[in-house]
Amino acid sequence: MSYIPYEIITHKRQVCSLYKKACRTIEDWYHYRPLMRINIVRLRKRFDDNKNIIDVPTAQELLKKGQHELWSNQHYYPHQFPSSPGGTAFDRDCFPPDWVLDSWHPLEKAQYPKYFAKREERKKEYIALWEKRWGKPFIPHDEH
Amino acid sequence: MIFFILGLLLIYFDKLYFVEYMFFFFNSCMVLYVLLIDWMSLMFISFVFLISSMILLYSMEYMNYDFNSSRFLMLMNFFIMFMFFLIISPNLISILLGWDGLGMVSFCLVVFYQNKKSYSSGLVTVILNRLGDLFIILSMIWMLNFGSWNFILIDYYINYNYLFFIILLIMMASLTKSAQIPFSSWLPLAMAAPTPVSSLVHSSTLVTAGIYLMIRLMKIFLKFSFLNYLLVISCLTMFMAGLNAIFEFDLKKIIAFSTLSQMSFMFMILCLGKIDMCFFYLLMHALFKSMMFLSAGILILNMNNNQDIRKMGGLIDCLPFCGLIFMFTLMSLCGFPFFCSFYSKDLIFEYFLMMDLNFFFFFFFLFSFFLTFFYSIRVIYYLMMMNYSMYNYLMIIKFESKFLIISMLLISLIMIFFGSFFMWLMFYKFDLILLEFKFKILSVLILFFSIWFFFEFNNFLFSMKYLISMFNIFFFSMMWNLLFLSINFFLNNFLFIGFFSLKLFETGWIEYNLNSGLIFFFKKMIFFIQNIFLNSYKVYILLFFMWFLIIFFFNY
Repeated sequence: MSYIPYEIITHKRQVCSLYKKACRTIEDWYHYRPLMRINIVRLRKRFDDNKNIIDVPTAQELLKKGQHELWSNQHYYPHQFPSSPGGTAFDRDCFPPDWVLDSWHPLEKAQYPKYFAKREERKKEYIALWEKRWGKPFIPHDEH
Repeated sequence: MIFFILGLLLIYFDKLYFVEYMFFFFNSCMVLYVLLIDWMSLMFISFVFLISSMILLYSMEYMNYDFNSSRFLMLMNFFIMFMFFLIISPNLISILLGWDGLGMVSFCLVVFYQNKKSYSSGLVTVILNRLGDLFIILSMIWMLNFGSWNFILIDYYINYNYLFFIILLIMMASLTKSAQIPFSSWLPLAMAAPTPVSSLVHSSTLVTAGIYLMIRLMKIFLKFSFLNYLLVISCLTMFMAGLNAIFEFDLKKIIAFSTLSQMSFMFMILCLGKIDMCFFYLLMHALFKSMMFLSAGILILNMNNNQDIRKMGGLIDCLPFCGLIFMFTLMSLCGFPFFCSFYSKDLIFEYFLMMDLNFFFFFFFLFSFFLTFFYSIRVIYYLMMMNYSMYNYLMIIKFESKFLIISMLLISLIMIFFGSFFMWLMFYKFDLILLEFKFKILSVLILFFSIWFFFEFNNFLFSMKYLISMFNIFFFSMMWNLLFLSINFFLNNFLFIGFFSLKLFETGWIEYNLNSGLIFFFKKMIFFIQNIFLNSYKVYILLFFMWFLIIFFFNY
């Protein structure tokens, strides 16, 4: 495996996320709302039955079984919220960053002389403000 | 309006105007710009302008919240302009202007929202459209043999053996534009564009361009035998699109699949040789499909960009006007009596039943009709009859605002009343259709059967999961793996070649050694040659030569 787990996910959290994913899958499959609700209630019952298992290996086995069941029941077109990653409207409005204006060609800049003159002033003001607040930036010497 | 009245006049007087502007003339090849003004082109232009003007009115409101709305309007205008070029000139060189322009501007419109998803789908769109351009360019090259690119006059060049390749290539080009089966993966992917764009693209401009080209060339097509193959392709595409629309949950993609199936339905009509009928259905389809997209756009706007039909429901309470129009469009899609497409669709259905076609075509045709009914009922169920899904209708604070309503009302009125009007104006010749009673009520039977089947499906088999195995569901919902095939096998190879060449040639050692090395080498060579051409060398060489002659002659 080529990935490095950057945090240790507890058993409790794994079970909770499994429950949430299973709920979402039920929501994908059953579109009639009351039917979806009752299926989720049944799912909750199954989770609640095994709530008090203290033996770690059996609990882990149950978790693995649940994950396998989730995988085998996955939906072919899972619902994705529009403005979250994978959705249709994710990252829809893109704002070009401010520094793009600095990378304009001088000839292009010359078309709007007033604006760019003011912009230069503002930049100087901003740098002065920054230095007043945080001090001069530390530039390490090149020592090879 | 002016174009429409002119078109009616041209029908009435049975005339056509042909204007040629010659750019230049070489090797007995004329490079022309041709304007063909007949009733067909004028009618089509009038419909395109009507629909696009309404869509522009709509998008004034719809794109109000967007930051680049001016760019959007400019691109839309470009799009309409290129469509105008394409419609009005039946010459391969001048049609390439419109054809290429449509591909380019459609790419710009698909990537209008600059996120990763729309970039990738825009790439698929543009490359498959470029493939169509390639076919057109190849046919242009072949047509150098004939000395002219006017394919409308191709009848006069007659030697049909030579025409074979041209017709084949043009057919392939129109298949790419109209997204038939090997090339159909770009059509649902192009749904990443804003809704007014997809309404314009799917109704009257981009995908109909291929069919329009075919209609223009149909008289020659009928003399060749590959109409049978085209019939197979269109049957399969219609079937596939219907199946996909059943498995799809994205509202816009469902409508895109319905467009795909209607496109292949038009191809099917063409293959049966009913050119006027096909054109009539093209116009009617443009009307109701644009309306369908516009009302879906209002829905999506009100649902905060959510396109999933599982999360919709109760449309009829929240947005009554929009729901009404959506209902009308779906009814005219199914060919409900006295709506616009009833006059063409029902007639074509009966023509088809009259023909002596084999079981394969018969089955696919009827089954795809069934699927059309099925997915429209499914959409109606999910949007209107299902309960609120607690998700997004709490967010409905918006409206059916003034511009949206005006633009939709105009086309919807035309959509309802225009079919019969157009029928009376255009088709004054009637064909005799003789059918058994069973066949006559077959379409109604299919409709009732599909309604019954859908509700059975929904009550007993809550999901398709239990009906078909998992693998098959993935197969059907991914356009028979066409998406996967066209992206992974076709597109990715080219992208890999591009990446490879960039890495190897432009940023690698070859750039350093060959390109800059070659410049150094040629510089040296040029200095050397210039030195040779200096006069002193000439004198030396002349002296050497004379000295050689002297030795040679005086040696004896």
